[in-house]
Amino acid sequence: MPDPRAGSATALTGASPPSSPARRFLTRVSERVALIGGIALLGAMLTMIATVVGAAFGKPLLGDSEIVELLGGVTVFTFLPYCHLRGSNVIVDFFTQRLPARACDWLDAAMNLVFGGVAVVLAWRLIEGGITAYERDKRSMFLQLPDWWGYSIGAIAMLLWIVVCLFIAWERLQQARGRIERRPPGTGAFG
Amino acid sequence: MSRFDIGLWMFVAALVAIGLRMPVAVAMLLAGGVGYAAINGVNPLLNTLKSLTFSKFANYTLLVIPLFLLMGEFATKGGMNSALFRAARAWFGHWRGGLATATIGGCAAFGAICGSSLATAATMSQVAGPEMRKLGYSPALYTGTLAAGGTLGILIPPSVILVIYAVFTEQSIGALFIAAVIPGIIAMIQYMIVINLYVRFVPGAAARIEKASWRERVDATKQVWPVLLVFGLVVLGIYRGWFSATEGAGVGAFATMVLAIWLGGMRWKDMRESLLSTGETTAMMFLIMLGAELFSAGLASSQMPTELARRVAELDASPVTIMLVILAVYFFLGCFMESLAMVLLTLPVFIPLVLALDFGLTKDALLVWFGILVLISVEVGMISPPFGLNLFLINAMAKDVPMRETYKGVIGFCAMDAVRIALIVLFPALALWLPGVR
Repeated sequence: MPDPRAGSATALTGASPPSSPARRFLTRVSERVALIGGIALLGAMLTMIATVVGAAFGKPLLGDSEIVELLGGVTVFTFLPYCHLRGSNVIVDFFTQRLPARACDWLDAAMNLVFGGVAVVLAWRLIEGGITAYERDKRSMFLQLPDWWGYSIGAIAMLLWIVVCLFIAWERLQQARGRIERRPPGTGAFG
Repeated sequence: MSRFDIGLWMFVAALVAIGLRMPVAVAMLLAGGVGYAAINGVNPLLNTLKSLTFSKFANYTLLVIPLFLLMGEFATKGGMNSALFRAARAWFGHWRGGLATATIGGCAAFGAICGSSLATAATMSQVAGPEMRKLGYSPALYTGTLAAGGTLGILIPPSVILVIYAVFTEQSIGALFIAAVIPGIIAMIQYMIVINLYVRFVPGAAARIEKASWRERVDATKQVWPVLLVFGLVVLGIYRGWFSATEGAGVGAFATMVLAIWLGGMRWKDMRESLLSTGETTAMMFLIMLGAELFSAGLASSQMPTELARRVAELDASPVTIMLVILAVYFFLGCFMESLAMVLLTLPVFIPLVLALDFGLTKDALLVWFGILVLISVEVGMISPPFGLNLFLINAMAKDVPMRETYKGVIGFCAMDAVRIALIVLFPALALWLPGVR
């Protein structure tokens, strides 16, 4: 049976409690980082309200979309580690459901290493891009916000993201070798 | 290896990797990146990646997605799901299978402020599930109803899938939302008919409840007017151009937040949960979109999709046949793949194919119409046995109900979906008349 964790169902059915100390620590860190993004999202929303209300009274904010865009970017970046740590990145387990759980753990460990590799490349290019933006002093059109601000926040979040990928690869490896228990699935919501 | 072959292999490699539990987004990033580098060289790839991630994540138009998700979260935390269910129960409760009918009504109304199918199914289950159970509704009926009702979350605008489709095909988000309204209402009515028939033919599937008095109806309805107001404001506002889609989503999220605090007593703890859950889904979706961007760039430079479209055009098959084949592919993929991932994986190939078909429609009309068809096919995939995601979600929530029962309950709804797809394929006006796309 496909894991209901595929898709966003985890958030709805409730994820299992964190188990190992390492996981607890990472959860705490990525939740804090994610909350920054959550607040940024609220900020983006409020900026938009200010624009809409302002426009209704004939005084539109100039360059509001630049603030909103930056805040939105912060939201996405800061949630990457949290999302992956909670196992919310979509996987298809239809074709592997007949395999023993241990085989799936091995596969997951390998895939998380690949994921980590991809994340490293993305982070490396992002940092290069940020450095270029800094050197050329790229700024937004109206408010002159420097582009590298967004890039640096993104880079920090992505470093944490890489750590999370490697951690999950390690965790699955330990599971495959029977060193730690598999995390229990979520519990029913009514009944 | 020719470019066409590279494009083909990208697709195959991505599918194989996905089958082996690679996260969908990563598979698309990897296949897309390798394909892009194989055709254009490594340096152009590295150069593109310098700005691609940031420009995709810090993107004004795409910000609609987290804002609509946030709106749905706030609506749940503000108890709007239960208010909507109570109101629908006051109106439909005394019908045959009234609570199930009310669930569909509540889902449709909740879908008007929530753009996700899983979220609608999960939140409505929390309020409607226990009640139907208490009244001795048959497990098949109530789990089937909840799974099908959930899909109204994406069928009725705002809908996350439509936003992404609109961005991908450069169509107006507002036009697509409005185009989805009539098919969404048809879906709701069809689902209500299914319940009525089910209860007629399976005696004892549902107990009856007393008819609510007019006073109770008015009272219950009073509780939900803000929801309808927010929906009207957001969808009409975007469509009539009072504000951009992103601003509309911002306004909707803000209004829902105010309502949730004021009427639903939402506090910081709930707010925090809403933000975390919204961000989690957002990150998941944006990562897939980043993957899709690179994947479609790679496919486009292989020219495989246009070449494929040319070859299909030479087949001399009728456009309707080809359209049905495309929809069948969605239906098939939808059985085991998350909807957004599936749509983004296939659009780069299908859009050139569809644009080459002659239905006597303009390009814009064709794309809007196809968008609605994709939306419905994706949604059918979510509830079609044996692998529909909604079925598993609902079944996981109602622990003691065997999967077989849920399958039994949902068949009727799936049949209605097939009828609706046929209707919209035959009469594109059902989607195109309201937005007036020509």
